[in-house]
Order: sequence, then structure tokens, then C-alpha cells
Amino acid sequence: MIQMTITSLGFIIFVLAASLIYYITPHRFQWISLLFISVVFYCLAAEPYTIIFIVISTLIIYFSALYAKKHSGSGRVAFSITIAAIVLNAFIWFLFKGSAYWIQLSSFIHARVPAFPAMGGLPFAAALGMGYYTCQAIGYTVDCYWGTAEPQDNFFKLFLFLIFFPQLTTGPISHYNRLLPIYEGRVFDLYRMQRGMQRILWGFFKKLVISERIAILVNAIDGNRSSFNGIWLLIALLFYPLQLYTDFSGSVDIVLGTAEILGIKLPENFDNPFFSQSSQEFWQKWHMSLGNWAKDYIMYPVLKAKKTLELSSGVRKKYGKRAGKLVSLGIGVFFTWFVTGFWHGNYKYIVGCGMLYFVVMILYEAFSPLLKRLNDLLGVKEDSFSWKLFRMIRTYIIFSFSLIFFRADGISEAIGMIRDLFLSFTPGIFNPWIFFDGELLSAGLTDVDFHIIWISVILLILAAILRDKYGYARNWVALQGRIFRWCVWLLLLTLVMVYGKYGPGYHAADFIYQGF
Amino acid sequence: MKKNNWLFTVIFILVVFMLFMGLSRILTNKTSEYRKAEFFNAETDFDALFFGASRIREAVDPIYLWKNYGISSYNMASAGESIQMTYYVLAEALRKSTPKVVFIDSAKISDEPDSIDSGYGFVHESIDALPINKNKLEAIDYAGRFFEGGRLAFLSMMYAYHDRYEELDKDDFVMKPNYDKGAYIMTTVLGADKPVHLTDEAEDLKGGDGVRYYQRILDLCNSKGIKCVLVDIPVSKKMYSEDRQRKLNALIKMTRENGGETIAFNELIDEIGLDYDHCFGDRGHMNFLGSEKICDHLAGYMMDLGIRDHRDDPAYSISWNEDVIKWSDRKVEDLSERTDAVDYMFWAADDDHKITLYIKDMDDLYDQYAMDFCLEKLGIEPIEADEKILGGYDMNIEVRDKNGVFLAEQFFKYNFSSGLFTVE
Repeated sequence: MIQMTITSLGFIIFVLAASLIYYITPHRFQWISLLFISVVFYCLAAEPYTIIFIVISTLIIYFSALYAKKHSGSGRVAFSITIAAIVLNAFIWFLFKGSAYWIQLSSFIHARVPAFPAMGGLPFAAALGMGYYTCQAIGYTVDCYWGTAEPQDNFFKLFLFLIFFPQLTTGPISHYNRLLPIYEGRVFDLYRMQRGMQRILWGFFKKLVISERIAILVNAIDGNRSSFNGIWLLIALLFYPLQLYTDFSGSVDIVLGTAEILGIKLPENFDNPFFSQSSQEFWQKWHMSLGNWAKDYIMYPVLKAKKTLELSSGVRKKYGKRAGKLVSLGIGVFFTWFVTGFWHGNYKYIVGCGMLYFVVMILYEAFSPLLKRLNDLLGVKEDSFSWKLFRMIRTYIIFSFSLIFFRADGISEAIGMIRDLFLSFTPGIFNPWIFFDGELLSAGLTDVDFHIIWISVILLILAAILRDKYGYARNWVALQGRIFRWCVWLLLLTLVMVYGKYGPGYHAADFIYQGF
Repeated sequence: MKKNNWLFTVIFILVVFMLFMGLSRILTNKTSEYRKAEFFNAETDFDALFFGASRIREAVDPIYLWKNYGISSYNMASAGESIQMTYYVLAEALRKSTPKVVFIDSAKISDEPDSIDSGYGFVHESIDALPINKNKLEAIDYAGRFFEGGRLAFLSMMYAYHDRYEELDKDDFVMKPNYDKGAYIMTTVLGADKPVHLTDEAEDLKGGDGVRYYQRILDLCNSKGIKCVLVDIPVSKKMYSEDRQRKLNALIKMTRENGGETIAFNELIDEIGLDYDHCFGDRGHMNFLGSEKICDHLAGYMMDLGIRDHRDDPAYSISWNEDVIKWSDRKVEDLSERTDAVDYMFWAADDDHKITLYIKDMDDLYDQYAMDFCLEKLGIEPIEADEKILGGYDMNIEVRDKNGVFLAEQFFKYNFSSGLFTVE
């Protein structure tokens, strides 16, 4: 295995070579060259033998979709085949990416009932991007069953849908119908190439300049909580969302930019999430491809399920329209958040990423009339900037708390961290002087590093504002004169080259979402 | 329009390339270049070249060899350099120069397999200044196996040094020329225990990486008809173990079998008159006093080989004499970096310089190690002075040229715990 993380020089060279091969291939064979490139990438970036798991997933969905189509007259057979395909794919995922569930559970039981064996992990590595391609495989199977997608009769084309190399690293999760353009031929487009590279550069900036820098601070605090307590815990709490965002969205920028160079548009994964004014809105703008997948294949089917409709209708009749809506929503949101948390592969995510948000959203929905009345009473101007800013900050803080479960090793440690966080404001622990006596520089970052973070955050906000107005900040830059455009990209390139955290002696953290 | 887009794209790529090269140039650590550029840009050829690690770098002063013997030489050694890197530096040096003799430091010839016996920064210091060619690529290919970052860490200066942005200073933007001919002569003074001969036995060499590369050095010198001399620079008793001597004996044997010669200075301590109370600059390296003894012996050896005095040869003397003056001026410029009073005076010492020392309390003067030795050696008579001259300090050292023109001065405080006069 060679160094093939998407911020490595190896990856850049690979993308340039892949583009060359792709565009010199005759149009009708371009999908084959893309498949070849993806397989080569897989063998370079992961344990080559693990490709077998993607082949198995492809075989399952290939035959199940064709078989279900053949038996579309018999709803029960098609349904059974579809369910079997979903269960098989989910089971393979569960064996590898969900191993923490059964390892921790068996260990828990073993501690109480010694006769019960404590299980270890499988002696095989998981396939690269298993969490992402399994979602795509399930989505494809369901789409074919619903008739919203035509089953692919070419096995290798379907294999390409799962193994398309840019999205194997950190997603996004694509719907089959929206990724059909990978089978089409296309000519080289210089403008598209430039746009792709601009996006890759922006991704590098987010990951290497911002995320990796903040990681030093957060890791130092999390690695030594007995020394870094009090205000330090608050600093880690508030910086980690920024680290995660620049890490994850940076990787997605690189992935989407790579696909753009090849003329393929992958779904967006982020839409200025930190401008969200509620948690509900936040999750419509954060990891959008997973959210959309959960909405399409979990929430809607659950909401439309006969039992849900019956229950909702019963409650509506007994307790009124609002209660009925709340029950229906509650069931849908519960399953959505449970599966979203479950997908992350550990109990702690079910709590932090799933159930916490389920509770927040249900409470918000339940109390929203009361909150509205309270706002009226206090004379809050809901259109004002200050109120919107307050809501943004509130959403950010809720998100920060949920991420404690990302940072902690387990649920009990996360609870301990939350306790310590509240205790940090008590006398004897509360230490605000670290901002003034230079102690802030004892966690691995220099004052220059802090300046770089502040300046970078301003650039992020500026880009986010431009994105809101122009679709992409790049679109605004493209409207400017050549000299200015060049200055912008050269400045960004300089920031990445000089201030990026890479090179020997520096242990770049893997992308946080690469593990899923 | 389409043609224009391509044209501007090409121009943009060129601008990016220039930006990359410019930033790389600024961010690169210049130590290697600072030490070796003078060699690669030299107008005259050299009779002798010195290679190896810091021991030989600190022990051989080409300026001294020129001033006293008229020998044209260059010290190509660098700190922590393993013999493997020495081979590549030598190979590159012999493309530019045709010396009659090369001296190889015995300090870093490891006999371990798959070991470079050097640190990451040291490898950079050894090879950064070498021009990119097959020889350097081979060096990078070899060294890249041992360090994180691999070959890229030695190939791309941007990759290796981009995080130097917090250390940049004027010298990174305007390259300071160097005139010390590659040597790093220490002027601090420490004593050390004299080593004793421990064994005549030689170990069986296993043919580890270092020994293999040393064989390549011997072969290279033989193929070019250059005398190769293995030099064992004096060390303190603590560093002179039996294992070390057994290995050295084996290397001496190997050198002689391959037509080379050896100078084991640790066996010649009394013969060359090394004063172990004052000849070390730190625990592991000779200072200028030790260096003078080493150079005197090496000069005699070289003259026996037929290397002649070039002081009357304008082809050499014009540029060498200019460099000697420039080096003397540079030493004055660098005086501000000396923080210890003895070190300051020895660094400032020059035939053309007059040093005056003002002291608040004469009694303090002789607490500092080597202070009396220094004053006697340089013939300085300390002058007791009051607050008017010393301000709040305990000592002032003033340097003037032979015409009495002021060159530099430094104030020192007496540190009771260390017994030293140091800059605060």
C-alpha cells in the first residue's frame, strides 16, 4: 500500500494521470477506463484483497435487482428478494464496520456471564469506503424495487457505481440515477478542469491549513485532560466542530473537485451548515448525502408505513391534529436518527449523533409554540440579525455537545467529559487567565498558528457568504478580472504550500470521516 | 478565445512554478548551502579536501592551513554526517575538484546493516547544497529509505522546509556569503581527559552499510588516483572505548589493504603536543587550539606528499588573501553572537585586532575556566574600571583594529552560579 490519502502528492499525481487516461480513451470506452482507474486506485489505497467485498456487494445487488424486476408481477417475491439483498449488504457492513457493536456487547455480557465468549474482530480488513458504498448499494436495490431506477444489466457498470474512486474515501453517498453520467463519454473541458482544481485547492486549504492546525490543539487537550482543564475544555468543545467541518468538508471538496475534473458532478455534502438557525436546518446542510439517503430510504418509508399512519391517525383522533403530527414525526425522526447514528459504527454515535438529536428535535417541535409565545412576550424581533446570530450560535453549541461523543472513547467517557465541562466553571478550576498569561500557547500552537486560524476562519465566513449569494465562492471569483482571479488562487496556493500542516516529521491525521 | 484560454493557462502554470520555486528558495534551510556553496563557486582548485562529520569539521581550519602553510584546501564535512552521505558529497566534490589528497573522518563509519547512522536534519545539511544530478538522486534514494517523508523529503525543499515560516530572517532573503572554507572553528575552551591506547585487536567487519560505502570511497579515490587518508580525530577518554578502538583498527587495516593511509591522532597526542586542558570547545569537539595542532601535523603530512606552498602564486593568493580578509571582517560582524567572555576574546583574536578588557572586580576574573589562560595567550592586560565605563555590567571587552578604529564591544555580567562572564 502506498501513501494515497487524498491530500498526498501520490493522490494528486494519480488524479492527473487518471484524467489523462480518461480523456484519451474513446468516448464509448471511457467508463471502462474509469473502472480500471478506480480498481487501480483501490489496490493502491487499500488492502487489495478487500475489493472482494465490493465485488460481493455488487453481485448481490446486481442479481437481486434483475431478479426482482423479472418477478415484478409477484410483489411478494420482489419484496423478499429486495429485503434479502438489503439484509445481506447490511450484514457484511455489520461484520466489519459495525464490529464495535458485537465486540462491545459480547465483552459486556462476558464480564457478567463468563461462560459467554468475548468476541474479537474479524481477521480481515474492511473494504475501503464500506459505509458509503453499502448505502449506495441499498439505495440502488430499493430504487429498483420501487421502479424509480432501471436495473443495470451490465455487471461491470454496476461495479463502477460502487467503486468510483473519488467517493470511496469520504463519500458522498450518491443515488444511482444521479450517477448515471459516469457511463457517458465526455470531451476534455479546460474550464471544468480549472474549476475542479480550484475546488481541490480549497479542500486542501480547509484540511491542511485549518483542520490539521486545530487538531493539534484539540488533541493536546483531549490527550491530557488532567492538565488541560477548566477553560481548555471549553476551547476544545468549541474548536472541534470547526476541525471536523474543515476536515470533512475539505475532503469532500477534494473528492468533488476530482470528480469535476473527470466531468462528473457528485452530490454536495455541505451547504454552509454553521449558518443554520436550528438543529433541524443544520442537519439538512451537514453531511447532506447521508441525510438525504436516510430521508429517502428510512424516514419516508417509515412515515408512509401502514402502522405509522394508523398510529398517527389514532392519536390525532384522540388528542388532536398536533399530537398526531408529532407522533408521526417522532417515529420517522427516531428511525432516521437511529440509523444515522448506527451507520457511524459505535454505540456512542447512536447516543451522540442519533438519539441526542432525536430528543432535541422532538423537544423543539413540542415546545415551539411555547417558545414563540415567549419570544412575543420578550419582544424578540425574529427578523433581526442579532436573533438570527443567537440561533446560529445556539445551533453550533448543541452540535459541539453532540460531538463530545465523537471525541470520547465511549459513552461513559463522554458523560465524564460533559460533567468536567460543567465543573470547569467552578472556582479553583475556572482559569480564564490562560488567554492573558501566554499559557494558551502551551497546547502545541504558536501565536502565528492562532493568527492563521483566525484569518482562515474569516476567509471561510467570506466564502460562505459568497456561496449563499453566488452558488459557489468560485462563481464570484470567476466574475472578477483575470489579475484579481489569479491573485486569489495564487494567494490560496501560497497559504496551502507554506502554512499547510504536511511534510516529514508531521503526522497528518487521517480524515475523520475516512474511517466510515 | 479558446486559444487565449490555453495561452493564459500556460502563463498561469508558469507563474505557479515561479511562485513555487521562489517560496522554496526563501523557506529552504540555508545551512548546507552556506557551508558548501563557497566550494562549488570557488575560482581556484584545492590541493586537499576534508570529509566527514563534525569532528573533522571543527578540527581542520583551511584558513589556518593557508595563512601558515599556503595550502589550498576546503573542509566539506558537516555535522552528524554518515559515511554514506560522505561518499555522495565526495563524489560530487571530485566532479568539481581534483585534489591530491582527501581526508576522511573515521567517526561515522557504521558497520550495521540497513542503518544510516545519521539524523534527518544532518542528512539535509550534507546533501541539500549538492546540485541535482544522478549522484544526488542516488543519495536521496538511499537516504529516503530511512526517514519519514521518504525521498520527497530530500527532493522537494518546499516539502521539507515549508514550516520554517516562523524562523525566517534576513539571511533567508539575502544569502550571506561565507568565507570560512567550510570549517566550524570553536573558540570556547574546555578541558578533557586524555584517552589511552586500549587494544591492538581489530574486529571482524560485517560489511554493514557504512563499511560498504567506505569501500566505495576507497575505490573512487583509487580510480581517480587520489590519496585517501582515514583520520581519527582526538576525543576525550570517555569516548574512547575498547570497541571503538577495535573497529578503528579494522578500518585502518581495511584502508591500508586498499592503498589508503591513516592518521590516528589519538595515538599522536603527545607527539603533536595537544594540550588536553584547553584543546576542546565542547565535550566532543576540538577548539581552535586543538585545530591548530591537527592542522600543523596535517600540513607536514601534505608537504611530504608534495603539496606546495601557494602563497607566492597569484593564481591562488589573490583570491585566498581576499577571502582571509573577508573572513576576518565576518568574524567581527558575528562577534555579537558570542555570549561567553573567553569565547568572545578568542573569536575576536586576530593579528590586526587589539582587544581591551575592562573589569569591575579583578578577583572575579580568575574564577572563569580558561580566563587566565586566554588573557595570557592573547597577551591582554585587564584594566579595572568603574561604573562610568561599565554601566551596570561587570566586564566590557572592546575590539579595535590596528589603527585604533573601534570595531565592536560587548558587556558581560558575572554569573555567580556558573562562575562565567556571560551576556545577559
